[in-house]
Amino acid sequence: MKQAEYEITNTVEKILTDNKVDLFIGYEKGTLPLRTSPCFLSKGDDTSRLVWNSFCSNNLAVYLPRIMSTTNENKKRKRVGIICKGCDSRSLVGLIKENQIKRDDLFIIGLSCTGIVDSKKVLSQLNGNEIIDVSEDTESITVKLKDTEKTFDKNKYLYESCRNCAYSTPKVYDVLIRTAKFSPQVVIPDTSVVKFMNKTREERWKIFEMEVGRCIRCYACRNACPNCYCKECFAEQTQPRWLCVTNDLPDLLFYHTVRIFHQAGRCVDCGACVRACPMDIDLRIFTRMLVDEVKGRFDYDPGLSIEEPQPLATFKIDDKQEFMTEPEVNNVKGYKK
Amino acid sequence: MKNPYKPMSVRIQDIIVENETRDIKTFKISFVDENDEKGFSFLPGQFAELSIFGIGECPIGIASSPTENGYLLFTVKRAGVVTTKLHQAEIGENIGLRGPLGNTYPFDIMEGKNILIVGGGFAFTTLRSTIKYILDSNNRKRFKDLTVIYGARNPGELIYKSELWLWEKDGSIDVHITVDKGDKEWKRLEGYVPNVLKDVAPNSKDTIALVCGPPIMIKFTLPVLKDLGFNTASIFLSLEMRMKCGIGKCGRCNIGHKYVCKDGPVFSFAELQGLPNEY
Amino acid sequence: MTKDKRTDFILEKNRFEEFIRSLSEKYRIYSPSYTDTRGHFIEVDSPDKIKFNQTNSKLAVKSFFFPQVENLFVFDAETKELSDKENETTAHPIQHILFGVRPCDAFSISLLDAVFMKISPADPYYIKKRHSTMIISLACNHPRQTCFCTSVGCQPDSEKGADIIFFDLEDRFLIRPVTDTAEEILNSVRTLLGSATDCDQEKKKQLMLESKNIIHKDFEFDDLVKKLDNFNASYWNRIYEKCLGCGICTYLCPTCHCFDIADEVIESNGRRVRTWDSCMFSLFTLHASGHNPRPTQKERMRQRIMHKFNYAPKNYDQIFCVGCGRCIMYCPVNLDIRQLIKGIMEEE
Repeated sequence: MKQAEYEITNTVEKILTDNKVDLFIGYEKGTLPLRTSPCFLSKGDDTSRLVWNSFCSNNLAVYLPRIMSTTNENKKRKRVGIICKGCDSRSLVGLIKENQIKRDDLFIIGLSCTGIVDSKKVLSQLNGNEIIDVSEDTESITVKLKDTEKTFDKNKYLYESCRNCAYSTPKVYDVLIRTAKFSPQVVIPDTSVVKFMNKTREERWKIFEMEVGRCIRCYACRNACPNCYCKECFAEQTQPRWLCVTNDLPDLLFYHTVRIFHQAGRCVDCGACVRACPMDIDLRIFTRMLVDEVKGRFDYDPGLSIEEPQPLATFKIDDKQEFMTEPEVNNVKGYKK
Repeated sequence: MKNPYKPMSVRIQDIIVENETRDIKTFKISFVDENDEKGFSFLPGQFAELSIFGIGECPIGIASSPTENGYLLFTVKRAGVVTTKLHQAEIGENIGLRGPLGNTYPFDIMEGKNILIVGGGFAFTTLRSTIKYILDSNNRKRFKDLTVIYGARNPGELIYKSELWLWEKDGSIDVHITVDKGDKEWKRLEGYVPNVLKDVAPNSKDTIALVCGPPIMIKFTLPVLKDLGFNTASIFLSLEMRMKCGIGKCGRCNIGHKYVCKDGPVFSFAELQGLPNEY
Repeated sequence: MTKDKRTDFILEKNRFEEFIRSLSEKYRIYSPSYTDTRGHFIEVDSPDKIKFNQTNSKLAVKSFFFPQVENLFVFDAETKELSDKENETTAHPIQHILFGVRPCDAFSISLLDAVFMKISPADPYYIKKRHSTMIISLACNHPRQTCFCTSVGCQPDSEKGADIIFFDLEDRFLIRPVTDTAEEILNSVRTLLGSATDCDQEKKKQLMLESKNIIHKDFEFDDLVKKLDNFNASYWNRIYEKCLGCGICTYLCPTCHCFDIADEVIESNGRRVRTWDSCMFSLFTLHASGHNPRPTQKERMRQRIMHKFNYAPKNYDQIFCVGCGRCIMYCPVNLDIRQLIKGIMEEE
């Protein structure tokens, strides 16, 4: 970790001094234990603020559309340097494909990520006791409480999205920094969608009601998602007005299902939405359904290559059309109706 | 206790199309309940929130003067969701009204002084209310000279045309109507409002200026007033902001610590200079 | 009985259940829930539902008086006839008791009182709930790392906004009535209460001193108000960068009160609802003409800080922040308002 931090700091110092970028986005120490915070550095700022550890959770690509549509002092589009984990780089590739940012204006420091620790999960094991200090090594993290210490096996406390992650090393980058690996990352295949879809309709509705019913319409899920860059979100349009701003279930249902459908073929399952949610809604139950659907139908993983066309924006003659020809089968995976 | 969110029921008596492009209409409305009418006491400068049930509300300046009895006038430009629906309304329809809201033009300061009114485009609404109020026989003696400079982009965009020509003939008011660009029939002044103001050059001594218009007009009018000798405490502007509650609670329409719906919409230029430039 | 002459009481913890049961015969009691993932106040139908936890509830007490969704009135979509019968009564006897409110949250209600009740015209929806609810707050023995109430004029034992305040003295509670309504309510359970002795008062004083020492005092707010008068300072250019522009800080904040009003029609039933809104949203101040006086997150962040720490003091003589720390705990990017303010204070 320290080695990676050192390399990051050096690289950033160089690219800022050499004017290769106008702004650099990385991570710095947070004010809460088990957290970091996005860090914005310009030339002359202290690059030793940058950190790299198992708490660097935010998907920094979310800042790019809004920053890179502005200009620097030379009236040229802002050039931005950014740190990317595997998932962040896939988001970034998506943004390039959708013409929100230009590859030439980016300096990407890719990091081979070993997973991010779920701070909420760790905190839930502490009986409300506060953390005074945190340390980590390759296998575990140790938290110091007032009277005692507790150690957690990293593997067991990573975010679900990290445990399912198959692309932890960025494929698009300018510099790749390999961090120390503690063990070959065990990719736990995600079974949540199959489990969910094999429940009865009534059970599925109850789960949806319970999860999404907690929503307070703070829009953190949308604002944390790099794919949600619309200047006027459908949820806030007044002409026409698609939905009301209440937290009645019909409004919540509308907002979440439409937003999730807007992600089809684009969602890289980074988990930023789940991490941002203050009400602990497990949005991935629903986002993964679409990720699975797209994978099953088009054998497509978003964000791996800039050249690969997006499935929902391309037509191929051999695209499956069973929903028209065999409507009684639910879909490609054959889930129960 | 009175519910400040609950609108009173009002009826549309008449609809007058004010301009050629037909996107500005004046609505003549009356109260359904005469107790509401009796209790509705206002002065020029104030506004009301007009309700279209099922659609929403919009804040509109009261264009009629309190001296005009039995009805209220609202001049509305079609811009967003509510105003579009209002423009589709017909005579006889019921809508809602909450008001009067906001503060008034500073009649206590204006007492005994000359009044200069500078208006542009469709923002002239509350200024019409002020002019009618001042011209009323009960009020005229309270104020000295009344000068009005009003302009629009072209003759078709002038509002309250029939009244403008009447005022021109009225000896107790000095009216200068201008357009940015005239047409073949246009025989009056041609030129931007700030330039006409420069030419008319009213005396600033003991004079209060009321200015209302699009931001660009205000931007160029203020320096002219300064050159004419007006100090910032003698110039008053009426501002616009996105509003919802209209009563200073929803936190939306503030400029600095002042709410445009409650501490405004009328502000002196001196006051505005002490507020953040965020409007 | 005047404030000076009010006596403090003692309630042994083994009589707490009786205390709650007795009150619940006449009033509906609500308490913060730590198990309900909605993080809200729940109705207490049995005393064991009340949990004593070291943290604060996720959602602030404001939602009890100023709910996220509130019907202003209903109307018939055809005839447009209005009905708001709920608000036609003016007498509001006490019906609800909120138990276990932290002093910062109780303090926040006194701030919202200034907006909804003291500034005319008063808000009848808020008043009805406010006058019919009694707040029993629970002083903090163990402030958290994210608490900073002492920097903004609040204390872990603040009585402002509460009707009764409880102090946890380990095996017993010291109960202090703050308002006249409290006196009446406590009289109804007088037999369960003892009188507080000097020893009890000493213990309470000790605990509160320890509590206050835990909290860092980060800034003096009089200086902050003055500093913020510089609307065009350069720190606004960097402060907002990490902000995502979501509404978490405003929705969870006990003193944020911005709202939206919208009409909703389903078949022939119409209603006008008031819902929470946030100055952090990009379309908050968008005019119908397309003009937006706060076009970027810079202006919106500035508005939030100024509203809380400069405009509110000018309008209500109070900072609109109680130091509860929720915005720090739940911000997805760990934007810490204490750091922001420190940065502001340190700028030239």
